[in-house]
Amino acid sequence: MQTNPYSNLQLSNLQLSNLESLPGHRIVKQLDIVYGSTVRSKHAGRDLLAGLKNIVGGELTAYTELLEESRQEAIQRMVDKALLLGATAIVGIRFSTSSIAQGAAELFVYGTAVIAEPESLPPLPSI
Amino acid sequence: MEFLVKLLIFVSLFCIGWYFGRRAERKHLQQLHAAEAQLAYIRLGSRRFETREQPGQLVMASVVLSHDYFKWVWAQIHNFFGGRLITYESLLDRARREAIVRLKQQAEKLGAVEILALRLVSTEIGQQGGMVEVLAYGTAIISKQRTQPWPPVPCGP
Repeated sequence: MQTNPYSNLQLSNLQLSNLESLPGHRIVKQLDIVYGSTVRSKHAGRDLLAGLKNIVGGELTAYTELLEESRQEAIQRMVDKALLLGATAIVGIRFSTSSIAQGAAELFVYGTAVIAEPESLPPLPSI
Repeated sequence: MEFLVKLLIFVSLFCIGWYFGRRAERKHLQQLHAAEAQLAYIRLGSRRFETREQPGQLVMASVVLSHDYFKWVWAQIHNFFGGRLITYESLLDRARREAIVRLKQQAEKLGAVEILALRLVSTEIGQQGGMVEVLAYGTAIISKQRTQPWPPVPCGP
């Protein structure tokens, strides 16, 4: 089993969700859109190994790790912006990846920063 | 003479690609089959307006898969005539299944039983489009209660 590559994120109680709402919470205030991006390229050594792997096929672990690291960086940038706004959650998160040049990829993530509070059960009707 | 050397290199790469690529693919499919059966209890959904009372958390998983030389040559030939590129279809299918399995493994670690709003994004990286990255993400719903798994959906060739 793999270790979670995104476990190093410093969220400080910020909650993330790609739903339109946050499960178990009520959205109190919508703040602003937040995004983070990073452009990364692989180094020559990894590229060479990938070239060899292109002959026999299979998973390119080095690339998987590289992209996961980069994506984590993009998320961290988005999270930092949301924390500056005073958000408690980011909802409606979307990812997009585009390869812009040979061997370079842009990882982009965006979402809506909101203030959410835990949804309490409705009060019991008085008799 | 030079032509012969080039031909020899091509033929050997073709054979190596065919043998090792086929072996890797079979092994991967077996692993996927076992992992999918084990993680079948985690439900998947792709509706983004759905929500639950339990708390949720964003989970992500990605995989980069590469084709082999045999598949590349085969695709080049097919490209000329057009039609289905079966070799690439199986590559993409395996990559998506692997990404979903990894996503489910992470959801399992969180103690989740359901993943809502599953999204799959695939990107082509590399010079000849030989490498494909598939990212799967969704919101894992953390709940103690196990739900009934969906009946298995037949997929893949």
